[in-house]
Amino acid sequence: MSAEPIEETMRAFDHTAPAQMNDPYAMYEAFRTRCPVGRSGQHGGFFVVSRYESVKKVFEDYSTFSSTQGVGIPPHPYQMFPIDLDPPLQTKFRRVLNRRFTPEAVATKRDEIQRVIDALIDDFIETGSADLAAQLVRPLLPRIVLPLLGVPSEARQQMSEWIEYMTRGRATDMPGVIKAGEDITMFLGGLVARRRSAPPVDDVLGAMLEAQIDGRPFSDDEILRTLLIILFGGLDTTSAVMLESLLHLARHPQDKERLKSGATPWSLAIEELVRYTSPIQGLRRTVTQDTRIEGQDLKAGDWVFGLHGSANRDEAVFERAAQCVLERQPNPHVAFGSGAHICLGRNLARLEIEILLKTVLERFGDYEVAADFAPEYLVGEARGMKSLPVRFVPAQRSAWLDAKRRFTAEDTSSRP
Amino acid sequence: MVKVTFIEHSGTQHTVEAKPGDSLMQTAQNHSIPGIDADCGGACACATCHVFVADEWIARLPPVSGNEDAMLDVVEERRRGSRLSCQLHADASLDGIVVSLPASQR
Repeated sequence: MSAEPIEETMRAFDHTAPAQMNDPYAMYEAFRTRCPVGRSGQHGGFFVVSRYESVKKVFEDYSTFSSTQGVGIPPHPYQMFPIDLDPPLQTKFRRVLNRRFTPEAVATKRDEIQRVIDALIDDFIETGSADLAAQLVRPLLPRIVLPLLGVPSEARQQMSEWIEYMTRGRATDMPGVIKAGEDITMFLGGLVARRRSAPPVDDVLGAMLEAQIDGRPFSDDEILRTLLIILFGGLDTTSAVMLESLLHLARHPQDKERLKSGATPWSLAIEELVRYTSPIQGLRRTVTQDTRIEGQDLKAGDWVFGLHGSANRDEAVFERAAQCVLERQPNPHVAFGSGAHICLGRNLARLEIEILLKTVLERFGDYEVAADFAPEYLVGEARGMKSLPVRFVPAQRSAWLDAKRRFTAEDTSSRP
Repeated sequence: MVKVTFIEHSGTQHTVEAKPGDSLMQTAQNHSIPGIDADCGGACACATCHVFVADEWIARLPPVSGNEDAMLDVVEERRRGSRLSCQLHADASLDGIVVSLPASQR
């Protein structure tokens, strides 16, 4: 941090600026301690809320801090549902969607997730080195999320590229973003139309086609805006946690060992890795009526950016907040959000992260990151590592592993 | 302490002690009672902590707020006695209250 007055730092705050967001945590700490609600002059001006309690208030008090004007800065050109709605309308969408994402519902995807991860690892495990971002984590998630929604396999690559563009390009190339948005909307519109006249399928799109809202079916437009946010929500964020976790474990071999031996329960470790990563660093709300927070007056129409990434490092709530403490408990983090909009896919994300980390530890758990590796991040509301090059002792492809797993399963009646 | 009885849709009863001031939703979660998901953490924003309050207790509860009323309109089986348990706070006057859980909350 420079020694400039905190108000200056705040005025320049821009979550889309790589120079600020590659490592934002010292800046957040300065915000929390010296300017808990301040005003950035970027992107038309917005208030920044950084303390845990205030961030929770912003995301829980939907009648004062509304989502209906959008939740991104700069705004997304397309309104998406239910993220850009407030309760109770938002709740009507979530009722239909929640059932597809309960722990029980996502557990049925376990074998498929395992299969996709093993296949991707097979492509590089004999070489002894890989970029885990490009070769494992980024290709993995579309293969899980797109079929879940009902997107056919031949469209997955194109879809991933559109999404990447819409997520990253808003600060630099709005016309390009709008074009990508039109392409993706056109594609999804066609998909919805085809599915309306096809036999029912048991996926998220199928659930929306069959469900009712206010006594009528969901419209094509409503379905499309819902599929869009599930696409956005399920890719970048989960990959950010996976990569941060893999880097953390490479740099903390004792944590690797404690997970491998079972000394640290996976359920606790995953919550902590999610807190520590905070893949969504912040989101916007729009003030609906004059209010006051941390002594700062806010007027109707003001934009407020609540920083999940800062709330999750607030020492008032988390001891040793800057450290990743895998056994942390309780862990009331807000990395999945807080309030009505809590992450729809959180149970799926937890499962994907668990299977990925377990499989990496099982298949090339000796992987190492270069001592001088300095991660670089893609930034925005979501923040995730660009690449993660690792080296490891080359190992065998999974045909051999399947046999070993079967043997272990027969032997102990439990999968490794 | 305040005694609260939760009756699952299956009929299984749980009588537990609530800390005064805690919501019935928090109480259910503290005692791992199934059927109260409470996704939003008590912000009256998700309608996943719906309960049916037994008839004799309905009139003793604070009135339904505008927000709660709007959220109750979203639940599948709203009827007399429908409340969101995050909005009901345990105090001595509710000692012995009985609430049952709807089928739509697993």
